[in-house]
Amino acid sequence: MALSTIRSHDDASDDITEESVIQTEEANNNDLIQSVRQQAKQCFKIAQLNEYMKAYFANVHPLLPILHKEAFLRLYKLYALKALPTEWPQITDGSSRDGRAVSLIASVLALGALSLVETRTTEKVKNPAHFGEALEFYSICLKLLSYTHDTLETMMAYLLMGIFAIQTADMKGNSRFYFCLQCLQKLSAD
Amino acid sequence: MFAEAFRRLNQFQTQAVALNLRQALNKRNPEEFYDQDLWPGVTQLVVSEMAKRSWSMFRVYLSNVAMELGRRSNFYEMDIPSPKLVDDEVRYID
Repeated sequence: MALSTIRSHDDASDDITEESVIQTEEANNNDLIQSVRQQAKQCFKIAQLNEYMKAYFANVHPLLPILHKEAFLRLYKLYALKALPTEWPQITDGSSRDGRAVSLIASVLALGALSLVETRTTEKVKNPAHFGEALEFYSICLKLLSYTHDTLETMMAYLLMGIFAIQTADMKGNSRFYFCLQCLQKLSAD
Repeated sequence: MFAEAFRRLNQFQTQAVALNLRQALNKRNPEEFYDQDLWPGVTQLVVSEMAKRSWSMFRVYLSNVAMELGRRSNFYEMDIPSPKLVDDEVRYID
């Protein structure tokens, strides 16, 4: 009798613990999503996008010679404007021609932005100088590729996104950086 | 974070399989995944080369990620035993 009482008491406390764990997880997820939203920075100027594209070909392309520069520039000239925050939300997903092009462009810009380092300030900063912008481009890719057809452009975008994730994983000791990318998936579901 | 990278590379592989990428590259016939409107003035050879490089880079990065995660990148080397033979003969019980 005493045993059963203890067991039932334990079960009740387990339920409370489980509930509180779920609530804590939800709270943490909300906080994380908020922190990503705070970190992500939109780029409203095409000049800034051009800068990231140049940074990609200057810093990333020599190590990752996947894209043909001239070929990509032709695609970029046609579709770069659609990667602006005023334009890309009108694209339903990565199954359309615009979606395919913009997802590839955004993946290139994410790596380009990540490769840029602030050289003017001497103080040590936690995240790379254009981390917010890089995060925004990565989230654009995630949102567009939530539904896609099997195409060369989306395939290359996935590869560049994978490399982006590897690059961020290499930056050790940066917990905020780590958490931000972990919960981007949840952001894309919003 | 490497799990996130693995997820993306896995999606790459899924699309590559769906596109029958390796066979298309072997035949040097990338027409199936070439869209003239997206790549204006770009030859099929260039598109084919980009696809080939993507595939080779994918293999390099997949093995890197697999090593970080402590797994083998090759499915056939995962030490998964082959399915056992099942005696499926139907016998009537008298």
